[in-house]
Amino acid sequence: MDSSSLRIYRVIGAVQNVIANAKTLDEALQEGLKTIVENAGADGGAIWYADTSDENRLRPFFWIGPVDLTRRSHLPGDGSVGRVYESQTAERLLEFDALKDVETAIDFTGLPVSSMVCVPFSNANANLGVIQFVNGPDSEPFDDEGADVMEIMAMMAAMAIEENEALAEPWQPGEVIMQLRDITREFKNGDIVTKVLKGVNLDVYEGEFLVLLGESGCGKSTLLNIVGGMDSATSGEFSYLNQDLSNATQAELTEFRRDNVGFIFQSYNLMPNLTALQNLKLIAELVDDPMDADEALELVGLADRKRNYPSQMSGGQQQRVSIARALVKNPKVILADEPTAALDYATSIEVLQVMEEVVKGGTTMVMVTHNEEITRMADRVVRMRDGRMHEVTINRHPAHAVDLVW
Amino acid sequence: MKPTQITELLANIKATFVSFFSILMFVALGVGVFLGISWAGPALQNAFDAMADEGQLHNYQVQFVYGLTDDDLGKLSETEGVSQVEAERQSFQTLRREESNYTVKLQSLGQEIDVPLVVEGELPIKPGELAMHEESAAKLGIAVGDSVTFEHDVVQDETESLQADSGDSAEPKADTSDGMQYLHGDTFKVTAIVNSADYAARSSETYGYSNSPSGAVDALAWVSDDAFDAAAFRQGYPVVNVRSESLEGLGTFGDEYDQKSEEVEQRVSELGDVLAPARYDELHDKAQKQVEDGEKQIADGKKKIAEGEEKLKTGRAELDAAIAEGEAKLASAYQKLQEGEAIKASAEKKLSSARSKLNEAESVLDEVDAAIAEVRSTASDLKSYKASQDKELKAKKITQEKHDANLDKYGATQRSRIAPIASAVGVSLPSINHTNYGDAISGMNSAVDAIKNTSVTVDGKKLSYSSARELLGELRGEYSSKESAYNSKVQELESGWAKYYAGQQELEDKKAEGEKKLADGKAEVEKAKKEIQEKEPLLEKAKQKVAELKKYDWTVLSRSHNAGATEVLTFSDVTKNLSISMAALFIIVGLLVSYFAVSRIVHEQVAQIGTKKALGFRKGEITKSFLLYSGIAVLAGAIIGTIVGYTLVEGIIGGTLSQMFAFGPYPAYFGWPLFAIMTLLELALILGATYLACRSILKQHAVELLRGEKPPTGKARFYEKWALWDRLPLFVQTIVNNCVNDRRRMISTIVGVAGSAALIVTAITLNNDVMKSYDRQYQEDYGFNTIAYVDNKVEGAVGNVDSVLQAEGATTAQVFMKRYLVECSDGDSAAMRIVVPSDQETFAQLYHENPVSGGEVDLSAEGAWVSQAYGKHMGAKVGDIIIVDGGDGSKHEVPILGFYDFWLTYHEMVMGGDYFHKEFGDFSPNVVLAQVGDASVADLGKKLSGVEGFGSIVDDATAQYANFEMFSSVSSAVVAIYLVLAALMSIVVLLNLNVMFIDEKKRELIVLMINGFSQKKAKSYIAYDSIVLTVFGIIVGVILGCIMGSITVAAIEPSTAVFVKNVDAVAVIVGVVGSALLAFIMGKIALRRIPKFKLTDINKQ
Ligand SMILES: Nc1ncnc2c1ncn2[C@@H]1O[C@H](COP(=O)(O)OP(=O)(O)O)[C@@H](O)[C@H]1O
Ligand SMILES: [Mg+2]
Repeated sequence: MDSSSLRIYRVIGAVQNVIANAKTLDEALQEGLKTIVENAGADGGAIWYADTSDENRLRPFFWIGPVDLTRRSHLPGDGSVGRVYESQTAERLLEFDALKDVETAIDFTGLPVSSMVCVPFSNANANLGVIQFVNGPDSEPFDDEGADVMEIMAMMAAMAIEENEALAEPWQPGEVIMQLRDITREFKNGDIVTKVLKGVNLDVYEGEFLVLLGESGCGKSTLLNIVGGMDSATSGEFSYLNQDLSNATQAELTEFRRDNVGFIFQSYNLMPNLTALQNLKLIAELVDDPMDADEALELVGLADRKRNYPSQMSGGQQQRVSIARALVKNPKVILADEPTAALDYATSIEVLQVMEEVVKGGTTMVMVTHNEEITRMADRVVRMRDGRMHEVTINRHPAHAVDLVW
Repeated sequence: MKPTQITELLANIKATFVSFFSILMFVALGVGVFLGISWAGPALQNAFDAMADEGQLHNYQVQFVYGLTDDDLGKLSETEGVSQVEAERQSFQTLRREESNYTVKLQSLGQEIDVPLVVEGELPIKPGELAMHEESAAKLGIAVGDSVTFEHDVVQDETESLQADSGDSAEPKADTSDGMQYLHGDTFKVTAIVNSADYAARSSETYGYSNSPSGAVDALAWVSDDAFDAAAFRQGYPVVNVRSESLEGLGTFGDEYDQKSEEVEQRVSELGDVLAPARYDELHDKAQKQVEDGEKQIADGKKKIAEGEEKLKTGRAELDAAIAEGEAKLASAYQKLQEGEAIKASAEKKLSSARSKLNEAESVLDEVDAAIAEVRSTASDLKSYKASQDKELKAKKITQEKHDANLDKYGATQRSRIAPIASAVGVSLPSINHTNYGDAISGMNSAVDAIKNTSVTVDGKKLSYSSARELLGELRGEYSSKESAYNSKVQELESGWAKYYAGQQELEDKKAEGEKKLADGKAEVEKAKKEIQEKEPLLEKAKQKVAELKKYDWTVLSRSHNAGATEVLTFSDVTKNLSISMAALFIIVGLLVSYFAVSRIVHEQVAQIGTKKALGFRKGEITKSFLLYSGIAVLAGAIIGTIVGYTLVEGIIGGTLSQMFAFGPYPAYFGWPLFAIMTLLELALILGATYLACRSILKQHAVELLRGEKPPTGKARFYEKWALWDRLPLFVQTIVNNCVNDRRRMISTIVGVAGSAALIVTAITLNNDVMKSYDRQYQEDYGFNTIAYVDNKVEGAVGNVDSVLQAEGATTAQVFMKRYLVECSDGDSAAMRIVVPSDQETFAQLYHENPVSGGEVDLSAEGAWVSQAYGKHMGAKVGDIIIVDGGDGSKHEVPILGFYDFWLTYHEMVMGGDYFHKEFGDFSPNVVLAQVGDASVADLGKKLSGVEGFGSIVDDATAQYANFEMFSSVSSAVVAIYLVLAALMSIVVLLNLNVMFIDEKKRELIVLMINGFSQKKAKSYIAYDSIVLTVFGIIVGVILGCIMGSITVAAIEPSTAVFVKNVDAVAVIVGVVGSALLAFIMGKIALRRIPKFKLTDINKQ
């Protein structure tokens, strides 16, 4: 056996393994794809589900790669994914020219597509979706052999899908409120230039609970800051509700933050000289139509603490005040950077509960954390790696905060 | 600003109260000191104005060399803008009090203008009453109720009149030399102690000038107008005071006053331009007429002399002729008399021979007659005797015998009695006894006949007695006729002689009379000649006077010429200058303080700011809250400062200044504009500083702020490549890199230390340099310390005073020294003392004129050397012309040859005698400059008091010392303020910086301490940096302080003085030690934070 066959078998083995251990179909596909991409050396891949409630429109559920496909969808027959789904035969686009397949090219902004392999998967009852692989190892086009491997592995994964296993409800994202394209962020420190963000393409959807997860130092906070208008990207485009903020001035960004964003910081950053209530009011006064400060405090369960100064409250309480503060101006989006990092487990849960409530109330929440467990609460999880979006998971069954355990 | 933002702001203020208070305090200090000092001027000016209003101070004083007439007054009062006009009489009197003479300026009491303000008693109403100036009364020890007697006028200015001794002139004697003529009486009762708005300043220097030897006026007094002899002022009033309605209520020192004052002044001057020449013409005509009259008189006199001389000539001739004639007549009379005399002599001879014949006959006849008589008497005697004896016998008183015996005896006696006669005529004579008495008696009668018959020889002829008797009768007749002839002759002759002598007398008388008449005539001619001789120079003088009679203008003196006002202005200027330099200083310090205070807050609140930014606060809003923070501090500070300035600073300065003015303590001043300007300026500057302090932070992105401030970025520096670098100890390297990497801290610390060092150095330099000026003057420039004033009109007085002083061991020099007014470039006038040495050699010994420009002082050159302050403050240069008012209305253009070192507080000018003579006319020394050793001036004064013409002796060095102490007292206040400021500044700036630095280094320090650094070592890790920076700061500060010192010294210089601006060693030492100490203390306090560090804080974000 040659070495490539050996590798294939090894990957197949690994895929079988993760699929076997997966609790849900989603997880099985997700882990399978991850394993394939990682082991076979593809640049990325995506799992598309057919939305039975919408003419079997194919929607991405999980993908790997620095792109945001969330809003992308293909009707059967439309585009390569649509064609594969319709024909139920794998398709190889080895000499792929992105320019010719404009839609694909747009979807894969940030990831130049040079070759592609799409494999349909189904169970006994229905055609479920398509697994898509993009680019071979080291961003080289797939060769036939590589394409074979992808196909085989996808089929194996598909085969693992048990009959009648229902897929989770496909997730319908809300309107895009924020859009990041090819966002890079470099820090210059003397002669040394640190590239922290290397091209992030991310959309934030109205009402979603988006969790940014990643290793410490991978650029989560940097990204969040840019999303929050606290920092500007070195290059790339950033827009909020179709308002281009890429080249916004400080003042414009300030206005943006002022009117639309609420922040929750890891270190609370309450005004030490003001009481809880005053801290809220201070912010409430910034906007035309704020929430009642007392009400906001009540929401976070601290109505009886409104006269306390930050120094008179525990960390969890302070963070809850901080959440109330973020809430009080009725922002479109609340950004939270590791809000529980400084808190113990119990307090963290308290805080997360409040956040859950907030999201339930319709507020978009983007939260940065390095706590894997917290991703279970999210509607969508973006995993970052080395300044890029690495994988995106659409979480169709978000967990409740109280159910989290770590 | 939203309510909660305000809440937060207030909470923030509360939380950072120390910083807030620092800003507030420094603003308060800056505003307080600036406003307080600035307002000290207006307050003083208001006080002056209040006194001016109360005392109805003139707006103008019109003076005219030829005097102002009632007519002039009338016209003046009709001038537009003039509301009140009042004439003032003046006279200088000498008052002797306890061995000293004081020159008293006596003025007529103003009724409507310059009304003296009663301090005690009641204003004089009668001629013999007097009101004494308060200050003068204190000086002379005079109280209400005292009586003062003036000695004589000081004014000795004589103006001879052509007709002075002709007595027929009605010309007024306004310039009369006899002082008493100014006053009706010389003794006055003091009824009041007063002050006058005209003399608001206490210093007697402001009383004006007199013609006393020292030129000074020592005291002021007022008497009612009728105490003056109006006759003495017939020519006109020396001074007329004028008040203007349009200036009522305007502050004397305001621009509006100046402007309006100028308008009225213009009109008054214009009136003067009309009246002064008219008066000149009048005087000129009068004088011209006098000259002409004089000339005519002299011509008449000369004619009379000629006539008199002619008359004398003819009189002499006539007299001589008359004498000759008389003498001839006398001679012939004499001749005749001599002839008569000869005739008389021969008649006399004849008479005498007749006489002798007569005498012979008479004697013969007398002899006969005598004999007869004898005989007859004998007979009678016998008869009577016989009868007596008989009677006695009969009465039986005697016996017969006795009777007979007696008769016998008696008879014998009688017989012997006639015996010679009987013998002569040849008659025999019987004896006579008691028997023959009868016979004897009859015998006697016969004897008589016998005798009668006897012949006698008369005239050679024998004649009988009877014929002889006839002859005698004849002879007698003959003689008597001859005698009467003779007598008539004698009579005739005697009357001739009498006539002769009378004629002679008459001639003598006539001669004498004629001579007398001639002599009288001669004398008259002589007298006339003498008169002419006397009158001719007078005429010449009068002619010269007419020729010299100048056209003077009226001198219209506005209030800016009032010495009190000038003094007020001087102090206002000093305070203004001071306030500006102080304000600059305080503002700079305030800025620094605010900058650091805000920096510290910003620094401490970076996270909060970041949060706010992140939460959507606009940069402007955050900035606004900081600006509001500072703004509130500034406003509160400004208000507190204003209160402090208004009460405390003004109080201190006012307390000092009020002592120099008659109006005493006065209310403080408050003015909105300056308050507003200062507050706004502080606000603008400190808001600017605040903005600067938070700008860079606010520029940063919220993220950066939330992450905390960037640590200083270490990078390789050029010096690290030097070989030396590696050999330096690590701590040196650390210090250097710390400093270089945190430039803000480096600069701030240096500025902070430098600031307090500079303040200390400035303060002490200021304090010392002012007194140094005094020392310089008396050590380097003046070789004398005493000035004796002498009346140079008393001949030899200067020499006598000089000798007395020399005898007392003093080194002396005689000079002429007098104050003149000079015109300044700004149009005002300034007093200038002119010094003219009479002997350059002695002068050079006592007055070392150290030139500052214009080269070596050369007193033979044409022009003057001038004290440096004039050049500095009046902008005069070498070669410029100074216009000197001669005091008599003349103007002299004196070129400036150079400037010399001069440190006293007035202008001075030295020129050579030749030049002075040429430009100003005759002069003689009136002052003896003396370097006296240990002798006290009081003793010298006593010794000199006997010298005629000696005026006064002044210990100049001590007198000036007092003057300098005044400036020094002003500067001491400044010094105190500076020192306090230095300390406060170091507290706020250095303490803040240290605390900030330590907080910044907290992590570093904790790491070091975790790794085993002791607290002490950790402290020194911080302290080394501070020490190095402090040393740099001190160096910079000392240099800065020296510069600022001289600037501040310059600021308090009055316009008449230049003060020494030296680097002061004491100031430098105190500055170094003081600021080092402050830095040390502040460092120590800040370092107390280190032991309180919790090592676990290392984990805190
Ligand atoms: N201002 C900055 N200058 C230099 N490097 C920075 C700066 N901010 C972040 N970084 C670097 O960028 C990387 C990503 O940082 P960050 O976004 O905070 O990571 P995390 O995912 O832990 O939130 C890190 O390696 C960090 O060191
Ligand atoms: Mg982070």
